[in-house]
Amino acid sequence: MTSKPQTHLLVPPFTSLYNSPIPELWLAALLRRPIIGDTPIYDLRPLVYEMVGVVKDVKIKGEPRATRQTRADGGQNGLPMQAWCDEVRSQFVQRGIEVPQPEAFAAAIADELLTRTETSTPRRPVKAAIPVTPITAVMQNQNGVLGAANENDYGDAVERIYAIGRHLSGDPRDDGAGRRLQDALVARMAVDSRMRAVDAAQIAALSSALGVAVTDVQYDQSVGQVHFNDSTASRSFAPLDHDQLLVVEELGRSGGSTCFVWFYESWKKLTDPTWSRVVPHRRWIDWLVAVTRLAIGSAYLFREQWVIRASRLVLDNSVNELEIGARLASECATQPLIQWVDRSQNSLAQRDVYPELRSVIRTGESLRQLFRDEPFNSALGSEITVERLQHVVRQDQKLSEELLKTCTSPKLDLRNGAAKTVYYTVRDALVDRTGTEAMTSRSSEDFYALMHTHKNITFIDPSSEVVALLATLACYEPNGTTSLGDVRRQFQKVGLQPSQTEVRFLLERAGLCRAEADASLGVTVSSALRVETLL
Amino acid sequence: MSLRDQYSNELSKLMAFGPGGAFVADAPKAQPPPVNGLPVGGVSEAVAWFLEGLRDNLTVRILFLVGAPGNGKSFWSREVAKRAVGVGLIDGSQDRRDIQMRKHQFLDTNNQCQFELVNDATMPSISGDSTPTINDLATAIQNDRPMLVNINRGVFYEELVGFKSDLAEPDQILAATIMESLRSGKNPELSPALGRLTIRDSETNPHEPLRALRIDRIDRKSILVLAVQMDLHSILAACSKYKPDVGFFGTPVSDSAAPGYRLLQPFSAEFRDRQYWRQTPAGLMFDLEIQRLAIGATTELSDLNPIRSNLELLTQTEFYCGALASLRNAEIVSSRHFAFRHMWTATFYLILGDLRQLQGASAREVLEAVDARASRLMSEEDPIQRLWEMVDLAQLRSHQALYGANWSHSLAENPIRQKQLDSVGILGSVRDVMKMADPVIDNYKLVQIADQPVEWGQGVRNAFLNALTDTDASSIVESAFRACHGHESELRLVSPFDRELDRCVLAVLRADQGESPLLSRDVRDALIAWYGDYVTRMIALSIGATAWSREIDEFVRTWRHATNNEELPDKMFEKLLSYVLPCFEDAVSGNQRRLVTLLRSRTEPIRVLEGEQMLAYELPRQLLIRARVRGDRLVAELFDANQRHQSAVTAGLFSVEIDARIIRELNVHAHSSDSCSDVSDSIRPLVERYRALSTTKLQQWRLVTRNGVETI
Repeated sequence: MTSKPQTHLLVPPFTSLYNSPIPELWLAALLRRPIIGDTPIYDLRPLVYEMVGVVKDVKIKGEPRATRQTRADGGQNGLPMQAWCDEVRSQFVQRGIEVPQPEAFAAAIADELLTRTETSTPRRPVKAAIPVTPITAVMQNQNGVLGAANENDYGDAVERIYAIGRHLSGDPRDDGAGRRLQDALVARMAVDSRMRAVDAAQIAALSSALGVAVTDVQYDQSVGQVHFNDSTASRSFAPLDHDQLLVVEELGRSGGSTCFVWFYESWKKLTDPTWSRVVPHRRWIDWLVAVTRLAIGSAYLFREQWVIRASRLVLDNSVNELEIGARLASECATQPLIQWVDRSQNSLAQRDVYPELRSVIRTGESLRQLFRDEPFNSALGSEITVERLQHVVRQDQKLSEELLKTCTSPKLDLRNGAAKTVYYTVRDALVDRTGTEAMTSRSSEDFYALMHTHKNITFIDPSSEVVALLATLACYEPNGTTSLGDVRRQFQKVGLQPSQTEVRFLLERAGLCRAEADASLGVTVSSALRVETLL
Repeated sequence: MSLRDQYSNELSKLMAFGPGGAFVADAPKAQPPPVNGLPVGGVSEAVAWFLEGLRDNLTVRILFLVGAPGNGKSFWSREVAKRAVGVGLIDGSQDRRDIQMRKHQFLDTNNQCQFELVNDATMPSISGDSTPTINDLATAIQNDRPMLVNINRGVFYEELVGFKSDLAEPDQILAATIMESLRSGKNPELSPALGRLTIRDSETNPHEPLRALRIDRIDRKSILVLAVQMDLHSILAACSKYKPDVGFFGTPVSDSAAPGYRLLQPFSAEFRDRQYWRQTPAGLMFDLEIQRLAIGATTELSDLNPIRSNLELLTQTEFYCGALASLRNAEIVSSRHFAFRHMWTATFYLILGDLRQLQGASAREVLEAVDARASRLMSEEDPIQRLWEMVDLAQLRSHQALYGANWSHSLAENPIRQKQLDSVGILGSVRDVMKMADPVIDNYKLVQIADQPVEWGQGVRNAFLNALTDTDASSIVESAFRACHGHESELRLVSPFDRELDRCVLAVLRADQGESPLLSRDVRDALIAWYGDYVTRMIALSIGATAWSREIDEFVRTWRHATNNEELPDKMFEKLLSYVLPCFEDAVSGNQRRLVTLLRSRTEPIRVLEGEQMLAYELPRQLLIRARVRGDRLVAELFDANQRHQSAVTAGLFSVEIDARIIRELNVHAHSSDSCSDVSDSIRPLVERYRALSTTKLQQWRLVTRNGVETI
């Protein structure tokens, strides 16, 4: 006798909800917590960093937190410029590279490592360091950059999205997203002695100038490799448990492609040496950040849509117990996360996605809270599955009414609680991070935003670099070509369903394709890295 | 049948080709168009080659006509069907009542199928399979049967994506390989058991619209495949002949030499020559249609009927040539080609004007409605009513309709009417393209027409404004024409309708200067702006001027240079380099260094202030650009000169598609003031992105300070 199929009611790929408007921090966090499979092997202790440089300053129990500015700017709490300059010169000279103007050169490096994209936060505009090298990546954290009290483990969320994507793709376990990133970064460093020198200078300058031992990171100068100690592992990445796998299994059976699969495939591509070595270094980092942004934003929306659609199917009397799981997975794999209204025939106001975003997040979070509270908590017990929910709701009219009421009139508001956190996470991931008004003459410096705002309207209008990224990822090889249909499939995997006209407009605007009146989805699209060969 | 009925019938044929008309989609069994243009390059020869092959016992000939809807594929299907019937074959589908069919089979007297004609590969097959064209082709190959396929590039893509080779029969694999080869232009791998595939190198003549391949099979007939790219050449360019290179197929070479495909500069002498346009497929069609409809216009339509004005003026060489030149310019501005279907739509707009208000009406109803309104004007005494009626009818004038210029300025005056107009329909693709070339966008002063400087754009506007303020001036439109053409004879290009409109506008505006204004200030300003645009567009059409004429001119010169030399003109090369890869002057050595920022997301040109420093990498001093053309496309590939003999992947830095938009961007960047216009700021900086992607072989870093460039 075969057991009945069970589908988990919630998609819990993330252990908790995080909110950080600085995507560079997500990448840095990911790089700090490489894992093998679903088991942690090492991690760094929480570091308190701000800006650029390396500092080790652990909060000691009972003592106030100490935050050090690690940017080499000569500040009182930061890295003295002279120490930084000395180490830069020393490390470059050790590698046989003459540095003609060490002060200016050291200042240039310190300046270049800081992102120019200023992110609007509720408190103040902030900049983070671009994680162009492994050491730069681990030099900063949320506490330092944002002054936040707690360190959230963004790496955990990214690893889970990656793990689900891998599982759905049917691929065997691998070392995880963080390890792939670290390997790719180290491989790039191995062929670039100048970048290695920058890394080494950062470690040495911090150790000597700030008087702290950098024990978490060891740098093998002979081969240019970075080793992260595993002795200080303190955080765990909980493996995907049975319940989570129930979700994944259904999605896999439905054959649909989701943002999880898209992230997994994209990450694998970008961290593959064939790709990572062709893309200019800074652009490569930007692309990794952009992929992470899209994955985080869409995964959170997926999480909300899953529970909303599950509830609606439960309330639909025509859906029986045996098919509800498959129906849910199928809907979530094929329906868009958010409606993309075509620009050609609609006004800006008609393209506003804010009402839908608000509705999806409010309803999703209200439903999740409903299931946590009584009487649903007792009714569901430990079996938090769609089938169980369907069973209890059909047994109890009161529960059914309660569920319907929450679906139609969600209790939670975006101004507080989990709904607020989810909304800000989605917004930070997908909307122009600089807060630049789309219709003003000032162009935004966020080249990787999926959405823009104008007054109180939020609308989908991918920046040209997002389009370039998706078009390139749709290619089989970095400098190849693809078709409009394949680029549209990339959008669809993320959970968006733009029209053919819309995708063509975006590609033409980014200079990646040329109008072919009859080619329909077969319009040839060039990789952003392609050197065109016309014939 | 009365003369008016006859004329209505003639007009209805044109209306049937208008947006949504009954004749828009052609088919072997459909009614032929009232007039024909010239065949696009290579198609008539290819069709002759195919028909010859019906008697060939040694090979199987397969002909693909490739192109967007409306390029004449089905027109040629009808020709093939007609000739097949002429030699005694029977259309096996003749009993079917529906005109639009996916496939026709032509049978001999023994009911044996001699060849198949897939008229519309986009239509689903009766069996509902996902790769019907591949399956049709496989069946033809299996039965050694010739086949003609009308197909667009999207079908190639969709069927090849949906094709599952692991489940396919050998003939289906062969069919899919043929389609893949035609799509990509490359020689794909083919199992020796299926045959040996050879594709002709298309680089020998980049403008040739014919693509050929052959498959030699063991113990079976060879398959000869010819594909005609119906839209590679503009139908608004003089037609070239391209014979199938039969030498490639193993028989003696006949005369395959063909005149080259050419682009002409705006305002060139050929553009003002009726004979030149009659050598273009679209020009001949347009000419015949104008002549066909102009015959009855004078007798059947009233003097103030704008449709009559359209027809009368389009028979004049200036407007006939100007309209076609404007369409050709719009093609270059938009980087698109018009199909015959678009040309019918444009003809519809040019002759019948904007009839969205009367959509769904018959030709007779249209004629009567417009004529009745024009006749009523004679008796209308209220100057304001008369003006608005004239303004409304003015939407039917060629130059207004072609550019989709509606009466938006009267929105405040009559919002309900405007709403009605907007709700009728979406602007068609012709309108979308023409809007980009609307002559009121630019304000160039002078252009060279036949080596004579002609006041244009701002000059017309100035004349317009002078006439408006000069109480002695009797006509605004005449002043503007005089300013543009410089002599009185061109006043014959002002139609009775336009003279009347001019009188109405002038009367209202002059009366308005008195103490009792007829119009509110807002409406008066809107009327002046609208009429200024109206006159500007009318004069533009008479000389073939559009927006972006400078950029078009520069593009054509660049294209010609690239065609002959495979490189860009020096000036363009410099402009491109200085924009994409601007040089930084080393303060110490005084040398120009080609630097790109090292670790920045976007790569702004290197500029450092006192006390600042930045990191960069340096590109080779010696860069080469190879410019390549195909049809109207022009691509410039930047190479490291020292690695010129290596492949594009290793030596190439990046490539830029040169078109009018890029040229405008380059000119704006180069601070060439005469190239700046009021739409320049809407051009998105595509080139800047190319710079950021130049994947140089990173060797050394450069430290850039105000004091110079140091190597790290």
